[in-house]
Amino acid sequence: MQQDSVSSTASSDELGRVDEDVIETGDGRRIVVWRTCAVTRDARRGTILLAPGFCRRMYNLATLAQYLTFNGFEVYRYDPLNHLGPSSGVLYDFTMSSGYYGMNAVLSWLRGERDVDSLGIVATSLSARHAYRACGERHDIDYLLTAVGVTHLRATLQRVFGVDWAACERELLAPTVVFEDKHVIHGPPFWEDAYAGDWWEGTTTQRELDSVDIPIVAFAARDDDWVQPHEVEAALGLSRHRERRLCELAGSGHNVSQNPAVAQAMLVSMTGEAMGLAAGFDRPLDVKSEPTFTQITEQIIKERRLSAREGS
Amino acid sequence: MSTQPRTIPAIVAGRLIRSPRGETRRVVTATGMELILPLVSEADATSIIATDRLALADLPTQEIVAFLYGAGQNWKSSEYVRRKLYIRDLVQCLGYSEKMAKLEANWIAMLLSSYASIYDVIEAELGNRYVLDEWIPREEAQIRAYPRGRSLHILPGNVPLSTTTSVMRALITKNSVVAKFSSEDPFTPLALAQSFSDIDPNHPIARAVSVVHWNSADLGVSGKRLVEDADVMCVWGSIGAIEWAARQARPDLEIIAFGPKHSLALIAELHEKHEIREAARALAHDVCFRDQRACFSSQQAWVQTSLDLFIPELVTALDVYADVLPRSAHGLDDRAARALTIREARFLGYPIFEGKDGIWTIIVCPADFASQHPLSRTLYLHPWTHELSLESIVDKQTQTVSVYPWSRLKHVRDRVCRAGAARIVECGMSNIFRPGGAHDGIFPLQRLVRFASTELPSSAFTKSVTVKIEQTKFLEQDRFVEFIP
Amino acid sequence: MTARCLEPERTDAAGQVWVLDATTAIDTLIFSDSPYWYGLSLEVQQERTDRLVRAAFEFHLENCPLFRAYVEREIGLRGIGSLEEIPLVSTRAFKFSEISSVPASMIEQWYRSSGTSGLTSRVPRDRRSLERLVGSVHSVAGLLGRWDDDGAAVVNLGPGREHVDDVWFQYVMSLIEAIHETDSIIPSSLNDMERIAAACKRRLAEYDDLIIAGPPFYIASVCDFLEERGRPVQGESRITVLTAGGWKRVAGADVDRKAFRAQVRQAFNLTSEAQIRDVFNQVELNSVLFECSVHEKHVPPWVHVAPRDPDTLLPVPDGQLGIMSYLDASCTAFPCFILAEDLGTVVRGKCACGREGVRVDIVRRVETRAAKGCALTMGRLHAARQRQ
Repeated sequence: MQQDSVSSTASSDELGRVDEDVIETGDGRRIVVWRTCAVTRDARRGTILLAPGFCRRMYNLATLAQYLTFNGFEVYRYDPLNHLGPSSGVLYDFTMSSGYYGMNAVLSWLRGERDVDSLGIVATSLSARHAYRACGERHDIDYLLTAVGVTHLRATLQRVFGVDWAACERELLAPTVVFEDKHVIHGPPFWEDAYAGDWWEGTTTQRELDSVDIPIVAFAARDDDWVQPHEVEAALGLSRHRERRLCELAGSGHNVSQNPAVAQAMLVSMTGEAMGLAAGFDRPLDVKSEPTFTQITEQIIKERRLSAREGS
Repeated sequence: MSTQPRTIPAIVAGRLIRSPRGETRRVVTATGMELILPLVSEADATSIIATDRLALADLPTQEIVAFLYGAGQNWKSSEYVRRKLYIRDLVQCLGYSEKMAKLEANWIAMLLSSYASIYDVIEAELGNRYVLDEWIPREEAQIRAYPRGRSLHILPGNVPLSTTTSVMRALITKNSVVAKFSSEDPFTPLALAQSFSDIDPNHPIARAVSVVHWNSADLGVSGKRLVEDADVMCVWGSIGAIEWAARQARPDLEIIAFGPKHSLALIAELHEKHEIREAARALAHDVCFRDQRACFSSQQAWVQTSLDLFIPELVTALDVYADVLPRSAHGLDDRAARALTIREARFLGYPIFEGKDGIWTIIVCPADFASQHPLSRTLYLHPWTHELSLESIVDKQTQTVSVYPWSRLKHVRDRVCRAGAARIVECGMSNIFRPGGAHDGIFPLQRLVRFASTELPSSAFTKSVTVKIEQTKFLEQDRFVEFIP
Repeated sequence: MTARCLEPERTDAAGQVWVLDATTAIDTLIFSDSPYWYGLSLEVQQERTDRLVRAAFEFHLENCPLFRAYVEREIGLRGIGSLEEIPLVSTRAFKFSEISSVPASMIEQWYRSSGTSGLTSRVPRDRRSLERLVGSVHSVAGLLGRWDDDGAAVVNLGPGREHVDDVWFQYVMSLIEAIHETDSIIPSSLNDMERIAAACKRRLAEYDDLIIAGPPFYIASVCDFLEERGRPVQGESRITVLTAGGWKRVAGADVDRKAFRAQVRQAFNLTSEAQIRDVFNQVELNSVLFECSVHEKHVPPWVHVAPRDPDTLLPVPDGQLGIMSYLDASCTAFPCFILAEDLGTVVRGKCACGREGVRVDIVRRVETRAAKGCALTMGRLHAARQRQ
């Protein structure tokens, strides 16, 4: 895949351009990665990895990527293993550990192959749970931002499916579980892995985060039916970690993009937070540039078409 | 008001066809009256085409004029049943005020009865009042005007005057007439044709007139036959109507088009109160006559007189016309068009003056206030500044430029006519087309005839050659060159 | 940036928790899916309409000097009693004035109408207005059918995103691609028709649902082609046909919508005519109005629609023809309180589809004397002179 030269001045050709890479994992699987470079004349602010929510595609993060690149960040996105996109595996076989494995592979690649300098993560929904663990187990992540990030997997899945899976007997598990009326996951392996990997409980997340000393800013939606702000607050342990912050989004559910005004507010705030964190501050910086509606829609269309051409 | 649909008849070669012989079409008028219009049938078209298109060719002009005069005298009488029915139809079906309907009937009477004017028009447009009957010497030839044959008239619905004029021109030039009426006014051509039959149903003129209808959007087979059969077509109406005619017509068909035009007024600087009042009254006439629906109706006026002095007089004059010539009923579309214009003008902050119940409207605005004109007695009033270039406000779509006072503004004619205006009149006279004047740049009678010429024999010397013309001899003697002046 | 929380509300002493509140009443209504606005009772909808339009009125009074001056001249600045008192802006005003309530830096683009005769309207849009327009489309998902963004594809009979510039109708149609996988093909040749048919069949194989959208005359042309080819597309219950862009006279006659729907149903082998819906929008209106299953256009509660008596500009009774007016609270870019060039009717109450609300029927364009040729479109005249 073509390696782009890093540039702090983006031409009109570079604006919105997506470059694709493929990471070969140690076990022979492939993870597809997209890169969009910074498009400002300002000094680059480092690199951010965007991790998508469950059953969400890379192009679903197009707008977030735009906000970040418009304000000096180099942005990477990836399609998880055993997921919907072009990376190896199928969604049916998704487990928390496979998702975590993929994230770690990308992080290692960024540090190793791409030799990035500053590295932050923005993780949404289920991928936030992976990111929380990654921050605890790795020491090469500089900061973390999450949006409607899952901290208590068991509780969240119970709200999503109406069933406390974790409490079920293995033999009584349904062979498949359907997410959003169409995405089919093989239930028992997921369940087993959740136990084996100690993914279920919020207290686990809290424990993992206790040892993390990098800044974390979490955005939680006040009306989120799946991830409740008090769970996030509990996991973050704010009183013990002054470098962490929690933003509650009023008037929003789990799908923050449903209300564009709320989404825009979150994107601006998140970008400002990322800018501050990347610069080593404990407060956000002013966002200098926002993409226009036209730029946003054109980018979404462009990336959607790119995904379609890949047959993904 | 009757709510029963009313069936409109047709006239085929002078015969009244009360019940439609083919399909029909329903329209609703401005007063909510439902009319059933007959679409020209196969039988109608066949009958018309079978008539002699030159049936009037040998009728002396004086007989035609006398016949029309007779019809006009009937129209002049307030007891004439046809007139009464016509006025009733205009009022009840088309929403005319009683006064305006009477005025229309009076104008029909005027036009038909003005025998002197008819002769003057023939003389002015064709060169001699006998040219339709005899060979008239002209230089080294004699000319005679013959009818083209069958004239087809695509009539407008907004100005009865135009219908009468169009039919009369055709008859005067001895053409037979097929008048296709507009759904907006079936009454004028029918009443006119029936008034001919009232004189004598078997008279060649009565038999030479047919009044039919078809849907503009769909000619139909019969309509197409009539178009193909025509020798000359007079088209009144929109650009769409003109383009339609061009598409339907044979390449050799003579088309006389009276397309969309607009008209304006110029008022010089006046100081005397009586002058300002006269100017205002004259302008009000040109605005109110026919509710501005005619091409000659003033839609705009440029005024040098102080508007503080002029507008009050104009308001008074328009109120007078609201009384002497009440406005006709306006349908929903006309009222909606006016509402949109008023809102636009209000948004832009232009001074607006309105009559009671919106019966007239004055909008004082810059000349580039370019709202679609709603007519309905709406006048765009523009201050006439020193910077105004007359050439910039006139073009080939300008028909009538009316001026006041005549003595001081007549001189503008060179500038505005060169820029495209078709006629200059005095304010208050826009509806009177004087004999000798052109209509939209042409002399229509010339287009309704074929000029034939009989040229003098070789024994007649030319002006520049003093010998008998013997071409073969001149060729043999190679003498051609000596005859070149 | 329109978040109201300029100074975040700190909820804890250490300042580690704060609330970001960018909600507005109108956005909550437009973007809510629980319930969708058309699930609200008429009474609730009308209450929302009143509140939202009043708020929009105040906003534009404050931010659009042209509008403020106009209101001051018309009714003064004392405030309004009923919504009908809001002075209306003729849509023609947009042909000759640049009317905006936001600074130039916030205007995404000036869009124009697609009229081919005379002058076109030029209307600004800012980001918020465009998002709400898209929201008005997205919010009717339940009214039209049960799709999700990735489960349905679109065949758009019009230019794709990269080929539209500022023509509003084409622009709106092209936005569909930001929501659904879209093939954009203009049916102007036999080859195009074949591509359209192929795209329909391919997308039906790849997706659960297919939406075919375009102007009625394009849809009709495609139907003619499919009939000639033996109706190769098996739509059944999986295709929804959206007609948009106005109904023009075809072959000299007004288009009979019932006959049109029957034709479309047959050509695409649809299960029901309820799968064929018309949508309405114009460049001066910021919301899209969709038909329900019984072909009535439901008006969202952030829009007040009223046919008016042209002489008084008072609303006419339900079912009576009047000149259309819209008070659209979703637009921030310009005062969307317009008097349009259409005649139509409105009814209120329970629709045969089962939902309550206000429904509008746009019957036809105002037919002016100018259109009939008796008065020139002065705009054309003067605009031509201005260009000289």
